[in-house]
Amino acid sequence: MNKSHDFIDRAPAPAAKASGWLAKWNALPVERRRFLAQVLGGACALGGAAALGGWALKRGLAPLSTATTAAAAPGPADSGKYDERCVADARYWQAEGEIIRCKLCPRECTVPRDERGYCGARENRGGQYKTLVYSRPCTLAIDPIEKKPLFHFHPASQAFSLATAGCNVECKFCQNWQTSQMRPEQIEYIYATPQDIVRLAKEKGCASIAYTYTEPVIFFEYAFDTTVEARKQGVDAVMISNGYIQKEPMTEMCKHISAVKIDLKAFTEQFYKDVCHGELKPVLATLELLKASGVWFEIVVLIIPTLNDGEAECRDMCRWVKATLGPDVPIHFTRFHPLYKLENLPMTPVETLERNYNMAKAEGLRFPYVGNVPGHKGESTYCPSCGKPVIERYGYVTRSNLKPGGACPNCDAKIPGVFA
Amino acid sequence: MDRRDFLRTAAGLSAAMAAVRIGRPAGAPPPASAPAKRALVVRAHDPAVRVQGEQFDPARLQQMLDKALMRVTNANDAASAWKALFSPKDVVGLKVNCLAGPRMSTHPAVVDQIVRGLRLAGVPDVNIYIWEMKSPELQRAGFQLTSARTGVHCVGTDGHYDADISNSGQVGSCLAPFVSHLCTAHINVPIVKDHLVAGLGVGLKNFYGAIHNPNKYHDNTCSPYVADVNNFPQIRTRLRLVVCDALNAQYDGGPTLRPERLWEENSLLLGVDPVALDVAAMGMIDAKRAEAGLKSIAESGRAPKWLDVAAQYGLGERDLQRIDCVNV
Ligand code: SF4
Repeated sequence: MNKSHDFIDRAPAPAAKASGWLAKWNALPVERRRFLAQVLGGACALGGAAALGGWALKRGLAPLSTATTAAAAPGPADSGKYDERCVADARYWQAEGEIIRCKLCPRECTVPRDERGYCGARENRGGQYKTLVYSRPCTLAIDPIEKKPLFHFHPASQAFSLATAGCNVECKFCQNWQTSQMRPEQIEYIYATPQDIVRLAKEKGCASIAYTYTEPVIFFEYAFDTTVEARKQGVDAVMISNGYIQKEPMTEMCKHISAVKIDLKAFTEQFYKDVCHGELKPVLATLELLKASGVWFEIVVLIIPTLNDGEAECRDMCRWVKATLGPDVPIHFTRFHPLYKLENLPMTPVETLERNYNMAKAEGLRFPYVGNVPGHKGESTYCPSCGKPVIERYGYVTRSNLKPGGACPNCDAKIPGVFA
Repeated sequence: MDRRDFLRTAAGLSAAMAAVRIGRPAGAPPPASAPAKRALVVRAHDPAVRVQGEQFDPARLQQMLDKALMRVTNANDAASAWKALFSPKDVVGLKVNCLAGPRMSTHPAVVDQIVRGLRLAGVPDVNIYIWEMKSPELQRAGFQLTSARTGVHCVGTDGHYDADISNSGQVGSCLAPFVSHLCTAHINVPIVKDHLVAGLGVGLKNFYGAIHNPNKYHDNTCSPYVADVNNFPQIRTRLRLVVCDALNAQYDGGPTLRPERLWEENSLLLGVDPVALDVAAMGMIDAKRAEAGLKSIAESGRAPKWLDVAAQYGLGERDLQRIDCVNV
């Protein structure tokens, strides 16, 4: 069995430091590696590895579905000049004298010339604001959609998952800090345009493209253009986000995106300030916007011992969700594992998650889940009418008993979500 | 700025600071390990050091540097001065500042003279690292990248940070290897510039180049983060000297180069107290801002509060009344 923390939406582990032939491989220009990967990928029958073959090879011919991250340890790609192909006009900003104010996320960074915003992915270049991560994914993987987790969105389908470097918050428990807390030039990447991503997703038979692992808000332009291209070609796109985004860009994204998962980190401003360097209020506003837009969305709350595991906080949150978003929004209470700057805290006791699960039910939420505890009964979906399991899960093994369109096989009650 | 100006700056600055209340907050506890002695910042100034444009006379630069260091160390000759701070066993990192490109970066000519001084102290070339965040920035500023086994190294961190996070106050970062384990001693070789976000971009701010995620620490005019970065034990306990390249200086619009706001100061500022040196440099910038009819940095809403925090950490002297600003 996998270690349980592998069940959260964590990017594949960074590759080990290169040596021998691996070092030679790494010393090749990225484009050259990519080309060779395509050739070798075909020859080695890596499941049509295409652009991902380079990383698969680099990581010892591991299967594509599990091995696709770039190394967090910087490689030769980082030592040269910035890859200008990945620099594009940023959207949502305004000039204020010599300073640019970024209007993409509520942080509203004020960025002098030659400097970057907090996320490290946007730069003031001579008075023009640029994104530095357009077509520059640092992580690609094919994941079960349940890993995001999205439980009511095409269950048991595959999501072509991608991330770029950077994030607009800094959670002390970040499981992907080796990419999210890096500047783009500090980690390896490949050049993959929105068209490349959609093509690859289709080639791999993925039902959706997921922006995940780091924070898609900070690679908004890339994610947005990829989403538009994907929808043109009949592929869904989903956003796995902290919801820390301004209203205007999120409204635009909602016109095209198929589903969103929001990490609601806690239900107090204090937690957001102290543990995430963020704010709660704008995240709640995003949830309300999602509700109004009609886009399918789910909520994940990582429960961290002593920091956000209080009963009162959980009750307040559940009441707000029910009153504001309705009883049908899935809410996943997931288990914390000591990571990054919170290595001093223990794993969340399963009893705490179960308490929250039961409290959510008692407050009238119809689809609470226990997350990151493989085999727990709280992973499965139960029909709120007859109580029968309609989607059974064990880790990422999923069996959907739903009728076409998402009806309960026992009582025909409609399960909310997006089902084939 | 002439000799009288530098001294006047000191006096004027203290009055200005009192007016805008950027000193240590009233009632705040004294620094944990407040320096017992008065702090010293030495300015070596020589208009003739500039041959033309960005060309400098090496002999005059050498004289400026040695004279200032002799004053800092109370030594009678240059070799003794360098030996007072460095030994042949040291591995010395020179953190330069090259973000803004030519004219607003540490000059290679200044670094050449520091290397010469380190040789006087017996530090082998191979033990000297001239470093900055990115190689292209070093090159743009006129440095030649070298990583030969026998000579002085001149290299960018280029993303090669420690794999693990180190914490200091509110800062959690992967450190550049020059700071985390390569060097036993640091010389900070910053420039003098106003900074639109941090207030001041001189010595303490220069060590933002030692962390992988400086973008995370620009809120609240970079406070307390600048102080936190300088309070990493790997920096705090190994910083031996600040040689501030004030051949050019910029009084407004930094960190990027604004040629119209740059002045040819033709000076070096030296000290072993990094806080005092920043305070003195801020005085110079504010004096120039006043000349240009601009509000002081603090009055512009950018008071570098991190200087107060740095003083509270015991990193140096914040109170200008206790800093001797001396010309040589
Ligand atoms: S998207 Fe990045 S640059 Fe823009 S406000 Fe947010 S953190 Fe700052």
